[in-house]
Amino acid sequence: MCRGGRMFAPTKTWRRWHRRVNIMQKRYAICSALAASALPALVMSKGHRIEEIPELPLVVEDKVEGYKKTKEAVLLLKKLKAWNDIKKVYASQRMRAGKGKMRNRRRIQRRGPCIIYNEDNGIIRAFRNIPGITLLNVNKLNLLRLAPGGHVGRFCIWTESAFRKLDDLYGTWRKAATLKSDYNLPMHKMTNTDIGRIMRSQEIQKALRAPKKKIQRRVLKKNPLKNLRVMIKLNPYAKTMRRNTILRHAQNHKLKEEKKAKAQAKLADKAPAAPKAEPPAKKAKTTKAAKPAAKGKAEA
Amino acid sequence: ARRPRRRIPLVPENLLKKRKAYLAIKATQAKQALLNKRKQQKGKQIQFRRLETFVRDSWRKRRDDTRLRRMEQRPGQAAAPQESKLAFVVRIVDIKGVTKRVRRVMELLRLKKNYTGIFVKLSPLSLKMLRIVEPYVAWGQPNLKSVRELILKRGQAKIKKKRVPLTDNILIEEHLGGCGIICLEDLIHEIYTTGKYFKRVTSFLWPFHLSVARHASRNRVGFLKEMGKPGYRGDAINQLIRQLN
Repeated sequence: MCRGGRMFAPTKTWRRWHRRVNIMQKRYAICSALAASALPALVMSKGHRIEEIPELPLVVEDKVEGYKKTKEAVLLLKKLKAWNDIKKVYASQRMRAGKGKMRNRRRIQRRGPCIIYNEDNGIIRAFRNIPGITLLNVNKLNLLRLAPGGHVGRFCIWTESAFRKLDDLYGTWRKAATLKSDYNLPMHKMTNTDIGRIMRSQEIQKALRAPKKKIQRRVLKKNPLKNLRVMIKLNPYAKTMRRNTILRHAQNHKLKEEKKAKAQAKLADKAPAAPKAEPPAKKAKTTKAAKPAAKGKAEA
Repeated sequence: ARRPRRRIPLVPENLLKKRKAYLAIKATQAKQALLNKRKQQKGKQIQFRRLETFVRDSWRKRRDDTRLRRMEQRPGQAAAPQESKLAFVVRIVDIKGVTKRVRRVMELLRLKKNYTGIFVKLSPLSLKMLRIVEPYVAWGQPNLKSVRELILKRGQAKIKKKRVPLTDNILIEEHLGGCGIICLEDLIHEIYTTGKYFKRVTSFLWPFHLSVARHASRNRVGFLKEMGKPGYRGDAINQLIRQLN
């Protein structure tokens, strides 16, 4: 038996791929991506091999836009020392890991340099077969190509006219963009980014206290009751007290031994006569000698 | 025939250094990983409070309240003798769930941890304080040997709110020089003969953390017998100090 009604949130066979983004945000993102592509540190951290290129941003003559043969394009990249990046792309060609293999996404490779041109006189066809290269028209810059994977700093090679057009497209802070109706570059969050220089400045250094260079380490406490040196450090008289007790000890011991020897001698002389008289006397002597020694120890 | 001498392959120095540093890092990482593993195994998420603790806490509060009330209404006799003015107070009972007043007096006496001790100058006010916390402390008159040994072995100073061991007379001179105390012997003398600056000296000294004997956990009953009953015990406090120091 079947009941009527419709399913809750019926599943659809199509997917919403596109998203709306505010125009200002889109332009801000492109400005950030272009700015990052001009910093060698960011481009290198993205992984591009730009160690030997002449300068960054890399701008080439407009003749490049007229290239017709891929061989010419390859020669240009080699002369610009950008070929290492392409070699890296070749080295990164591999099979995808995962189910994407059976979903028509079998092979993957790295992204290489991005060539940005103003007018296509053959440049697209010259460069398009080189692996890793993407071509971009400067009037239609694509953020997904300038910051692949969501990370800024792609290696971009500009043609001269494309590079000159950037001023008209995005403006400078002094003048607005001419090719856009009402747009100027976004304002900096920090105008002076040289933090080292700021920290070394007079205004900040004046407000700091002197640096504490001395490292305070934990002091190990040694027990003065057991360690004589530490005891002497705290109380120098302890040395003499200790010395006196030792001497007195030795003296008492010597006296005791002498008494003992004398008693033994006497015993040897008169053998059976009075053995009982000696032990009590000896006992008195030993207790008297022990008491001052104990008192000395207590004081020390 | 001479055996061919094996050439040790030349490795650049920075590579050797790198290897050494790498091995050291790996060793510390392994140790840390082991410690973390141990920490993770003891995972206690829910803190239970057993019924018995509630019962014990309320019983204690009740007994404390009645005791304090009775103390106020029928003062009774003072416990301490009048010749000596110095007392050593040791906390020997744990203090979970007592009334706020007792806890406050404990804080005033700086006996926050169990098996800690301090020197106290006996006066009518301090005697009252000791009576309030009587069932949790043992106190009495220490002799010179006790005072010396405590300060020498476990003397720590409170310098800038940090606990610093008294390893040098310079520390004492810097902080107590104004009172005319320049060395450890002076300090001991000031405490033993409760002098004019007794309060300053005792507040300079950190409360003494005494040691608990190893067999306390094995033979609890025997240990408690050794500790004895809380309260005033005159000269027998010295025996306790010998045990705990």
